[in-house]
Amino acid sequence: MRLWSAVLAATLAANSATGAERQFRSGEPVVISQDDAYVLIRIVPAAGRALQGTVKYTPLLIRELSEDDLGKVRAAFDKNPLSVNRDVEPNVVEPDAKHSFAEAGGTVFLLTSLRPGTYVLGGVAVTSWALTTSGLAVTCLCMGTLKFEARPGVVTDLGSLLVARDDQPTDVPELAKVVSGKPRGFGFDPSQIAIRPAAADTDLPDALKQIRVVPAAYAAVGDIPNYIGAPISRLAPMPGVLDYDQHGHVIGATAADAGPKESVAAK
Amino acid sequence: MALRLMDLAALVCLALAAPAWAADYLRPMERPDPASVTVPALQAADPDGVRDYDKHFVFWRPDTSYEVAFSDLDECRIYGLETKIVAVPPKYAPLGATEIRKPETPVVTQYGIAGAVIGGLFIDAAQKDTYRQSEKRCMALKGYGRFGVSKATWNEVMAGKGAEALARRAVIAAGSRPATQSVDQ
Repeated sequence: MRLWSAVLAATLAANSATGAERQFRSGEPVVISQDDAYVLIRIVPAAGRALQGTVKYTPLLIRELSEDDLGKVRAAFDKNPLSVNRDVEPNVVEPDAKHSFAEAGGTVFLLTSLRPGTYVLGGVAVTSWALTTSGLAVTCLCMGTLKFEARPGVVTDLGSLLVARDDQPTDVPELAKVVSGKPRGFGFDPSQIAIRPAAADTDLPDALKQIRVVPAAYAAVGDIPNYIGAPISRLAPMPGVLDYDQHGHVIGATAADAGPKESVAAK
Repeated sequence: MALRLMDLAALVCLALAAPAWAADYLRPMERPDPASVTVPALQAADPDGVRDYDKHFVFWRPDTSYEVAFSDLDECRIYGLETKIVAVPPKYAPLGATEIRKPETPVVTQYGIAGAVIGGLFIDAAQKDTYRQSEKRCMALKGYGRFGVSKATWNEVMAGKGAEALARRAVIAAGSRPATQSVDQ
């Protein structure tokens, strides 16, 4: 009995290393804890190339850190950003596209609990039948993106993640003028990414209709280093929130921009 | 199936390309005095060489100073070096840190000397492709166009190490519009 208690304690200790992050499964009752934050995002599975079959893109959310936390995370990142250090709470959250909370009309809803805080949409990962893991990072939104506050006790609705290939025309309105529509030598998966923010009439899963769900209050973020290591890109403009000038500088970035490079800050 | 096709491919790539995470931090380069920089005349490729314009090109943007062009090229250089051949989502990101470490090119030793040589060639080529793709996209997002040049011109532009070649490219990017063919059309 003591052995099982020790195993249970070790398991809980290991789980606690990932903080409040947890993916809700289909049909699972949602009980909101006032200590945790929750994010809801919609993704649309798409046809991948050849053997990829259907692919699902999911956002990579990076939590902003205090100076103390930054010191710890930086050390863990420099040592190995892929392994979990039990002394440091991970600050990258990836809603698992393989575990939907609900599905309707071709849209997949992902519901994730996480530690409250300010999150930057740092990039996008993709997964398919061919990957048993949660996916590979295919885009770093290093050159312009969004951030939002995930407050405790509520579900923050991030809206819809929209993806289109850069080398083909698309009928996604937010990306129709963003894609090149032709090959430009940008790599294997030159995707363009947009966020369609949640509106009052945006569909919710039935299980969330009696729960407090608030649309994410997005703010623009300027250049950030490529912590993710994925191909460079930026988020498509979001009217009234995020745009770019002709030289690619973010318009609407706030003073709290995350980590501008020295070369950028010097401009 | 515990391990599927893409997992296997990703693991092989990771095994070959896993960075050591012990290299130097990536920092902006010191900008040379433009008066010390000489650039070659930009020659177009012969008809057979035009197909390589996606590889042999220079950047250019109107109304751009040398200082800004150098800064933009340097930023895209850093982004290119940060980009991995295969990127698994990390657990941590030091958001707020202004610089990150440069992944080292690994030496593949588990397959002997032949494996090290072949693996090294494969990784080197893949990393160069990854770097070029990132740099192209980064500069395109900054509004720079690409203009094809002959291989000989490209070799002259890229000659030298570090800031020397970057400064040469910045002078061209901030100069007169190249008379050679635009790659982006």
